[in-house]
Amino acid sequence: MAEGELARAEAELKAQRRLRTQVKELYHSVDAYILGSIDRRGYKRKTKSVKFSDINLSADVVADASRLQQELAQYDSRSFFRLHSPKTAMKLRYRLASKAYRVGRDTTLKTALKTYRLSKKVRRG
Amino acid sequence: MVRTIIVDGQVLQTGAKDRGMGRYTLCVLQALLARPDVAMKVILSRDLPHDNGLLTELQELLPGVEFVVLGLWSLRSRAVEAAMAHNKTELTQYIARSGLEQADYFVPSLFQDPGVAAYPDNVRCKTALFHDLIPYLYHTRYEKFMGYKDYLKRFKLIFEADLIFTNSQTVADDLNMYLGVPKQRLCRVDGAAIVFDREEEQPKLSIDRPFILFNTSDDPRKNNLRAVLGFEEYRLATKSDVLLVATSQINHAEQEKLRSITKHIVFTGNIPYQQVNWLFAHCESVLFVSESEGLGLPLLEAVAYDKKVVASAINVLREISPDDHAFYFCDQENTSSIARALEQAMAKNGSVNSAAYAEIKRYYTWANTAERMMVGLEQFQPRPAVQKPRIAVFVPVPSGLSGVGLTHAAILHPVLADNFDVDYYIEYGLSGASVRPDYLQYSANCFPASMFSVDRYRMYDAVIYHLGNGEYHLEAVKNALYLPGYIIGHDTHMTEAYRVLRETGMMPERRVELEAVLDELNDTKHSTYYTSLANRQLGILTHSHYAANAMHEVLQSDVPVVASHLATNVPDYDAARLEGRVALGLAGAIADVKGLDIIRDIARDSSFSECDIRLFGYNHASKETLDELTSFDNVSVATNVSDFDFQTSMSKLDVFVNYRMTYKGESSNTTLEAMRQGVVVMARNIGWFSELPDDVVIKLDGPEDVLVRLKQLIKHPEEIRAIGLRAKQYAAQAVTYETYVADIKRLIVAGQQHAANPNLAVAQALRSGQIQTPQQLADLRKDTSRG
Repeated sequence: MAEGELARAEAELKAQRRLRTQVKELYHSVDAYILGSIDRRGYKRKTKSVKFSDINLSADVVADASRLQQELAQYDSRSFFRLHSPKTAMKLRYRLASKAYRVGRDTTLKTALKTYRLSKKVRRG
Repeated sequence: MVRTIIVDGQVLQTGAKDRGMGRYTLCVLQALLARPDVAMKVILSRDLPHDNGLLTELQELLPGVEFVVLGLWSLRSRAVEAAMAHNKTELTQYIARSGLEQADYFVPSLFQDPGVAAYPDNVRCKTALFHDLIPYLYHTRYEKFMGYKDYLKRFKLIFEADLIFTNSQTVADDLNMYLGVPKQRLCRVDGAAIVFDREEEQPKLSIDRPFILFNTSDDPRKNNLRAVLGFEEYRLATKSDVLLVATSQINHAEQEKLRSITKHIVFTGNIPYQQVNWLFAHCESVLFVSESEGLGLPLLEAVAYDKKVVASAINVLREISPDDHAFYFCDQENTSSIARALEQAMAKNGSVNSAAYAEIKRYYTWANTAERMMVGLEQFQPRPAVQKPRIAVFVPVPSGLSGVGLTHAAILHPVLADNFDVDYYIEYGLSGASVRPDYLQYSANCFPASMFSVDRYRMYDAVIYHLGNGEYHLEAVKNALYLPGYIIGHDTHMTEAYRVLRETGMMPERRVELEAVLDELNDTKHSTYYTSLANRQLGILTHSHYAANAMHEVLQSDVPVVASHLATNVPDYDAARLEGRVALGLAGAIADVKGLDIIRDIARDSSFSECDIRLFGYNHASKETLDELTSFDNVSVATNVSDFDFQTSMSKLDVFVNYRMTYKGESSNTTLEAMRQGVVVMARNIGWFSELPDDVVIKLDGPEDVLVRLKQLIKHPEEIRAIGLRAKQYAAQAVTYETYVADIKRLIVAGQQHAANPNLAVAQALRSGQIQTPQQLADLRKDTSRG
């Protein structure tokens, strides 16, 4: 059998995988879609546009390797310095939805709803 | 001394009990129980079937064993992380309650659903039996139809285990090469034929002719299509009236497809072992041409029945066969090769190699497996309980296109984690490309690199920046410019990284220009855009003296520089080269700068018409270039191959041509990967390559030398073998991950003690919390540079 025929036969064979495999595949892709969507929507994505200060250096400084290095070290310290890590935690209601979905998936819908109600109560304080 | 072994018996509560993994487990446990120096307890889960029927059956199979049913969670009711955490606590409490702290804990199956294995914290030795890494190595096939995330999440147990028993050397090598598990934690125990008794029963199938037993299933790696095509080719060529009997469950669609290729096939489905015994006893020969296996139990069973075997020439099956003489090996990817091997085996003069079979029967016994396990446990030395320094490491994502992420994050992790408490700060690149699964995110603390800050810097004893010339190192560059740490330099030129920083707005254009001005002023010859980075660190690690000199060229501060060897893991199984044409190759990034012109010249030269020329790796060349190359009869090109295919293809080469037209101060992981497989490397005599010993690679001064030297080489296969052997020995001895991590430790100690380095004062001020604002840091920089 020629290589082309072999490839075609393999492709057909793959397409005819048994039902259980296809169902599993569908389950995992739906699961990934749901969790992926919650993740995507839930994260705060306000990215501040970075504004750098101008680098004003005299010709003398730019012509002297040692002084230029010192100036650049100070410039980098001022420009890239970040004291705290940016907060990228998921927004609360998405976090609750994600948890409820995962609980529902791994246990029962009833437990999921219970978890969701409880977490809302906790939130209200 | 009687050793108590506590066994995770969850695999015996699943459907796998009656299949290969479960039966293997039972045979191992029976062999251990047969020893006078073993006492055993088996832990079962309350969440999985544990009725009296099962317990009685297990008690009969494992007499004298105490079965303990604990409230372990399974995937039936919980997510894998929750179940792992709960089961760990449950087991730890049980061990404490029972006073079993000196016992060893053995998990015979780490991945079997729906059970969830975990290790208690308070036992002497945590052990596991590792069957294979196939779903990881063939991830493109498996990740779609199994719970792949859950599979990867369980890798944590591999790194937690103190001692991993493997059922073959190939599996031990896979764990070492692909996951970086240190060799001292691996213990090969092999296995044996699973023959509970020789009772036979003829299956109720229409087997009316002599038949070939085809041990298979519908697992994607079983290679059913090629096997059946090979069988049909053999049948037509020899006009033999034989039947192919395929075992195990194969789905209906696949059965139909295979029937469309040959009508002379019978499917048995799952049948009792007595019927399997009958098939082994009455077949003419056994066909086993799987693409990958953990051990290859059907081969051992065929040997137990003295049957001829046609087997794929993969390492795991070849290691069973002494000197490759026991079986009829074939190229499992070539249907004609399968047909030829079947023809030889089925020929009247085709016979069993009795001496080789006797040797296999002598070596592969369950008693020997149990003995090897006990020796492993005896020799086990607990890891010393020491306070580890806490470090942050900036690395590219292991699943991305950057090789640094794979080798210096994922594969280095087990050895690094033995020496440090590590947090990884991951860079995902701009393309977001994913070429392999990322298990590190589930096995170690991983954070996005963009999360790093002064606050976080204070948490660590040291920060390591992996610096390469590309999009996967942008945050590392930015942070290294103001937070002093330890650079591991993978290139000496950073032009590309700075270009991306500028184009993505992460660094102003003027700042990038001034870095180039620094290079001009310093007249740097061996590096670009490195002056600021190098001068603001506590230490620098390079992979060559060439790169170390490049750093010294730009250094004005007193920063310690250590030149270490780039590391690799070397497989222990030494497969002899199979007979065939000389194979020459170019691997890694397929690009003009990596010497495509030379490959073109080789292909055109008639002296190499009897050689195979293979190109494989990630393609950066144009379609026209590839089309031109593939137009040559003896050239094959495989692009975007998986890591496993890459390593397999590499191991089949005789000579790897790695002549770089331009050199940027880098070291070459691909070169080491060739050397560890005993492949001769031809490289340009420059930088890192020139520092390799003269007798382990062939160094060339100009591109014109490549053809001249290759022509000499292909005439002397004994020289190819000798250089290859020396290359492998060098890779095994000189460039281990253990020595590499020892060098990192040495560098950190040097950096922390180097008072002359002004960056040390900056680091101390940052750690002590004195620096709270950008201006304070800028002022401190000014003061330290004056001082």
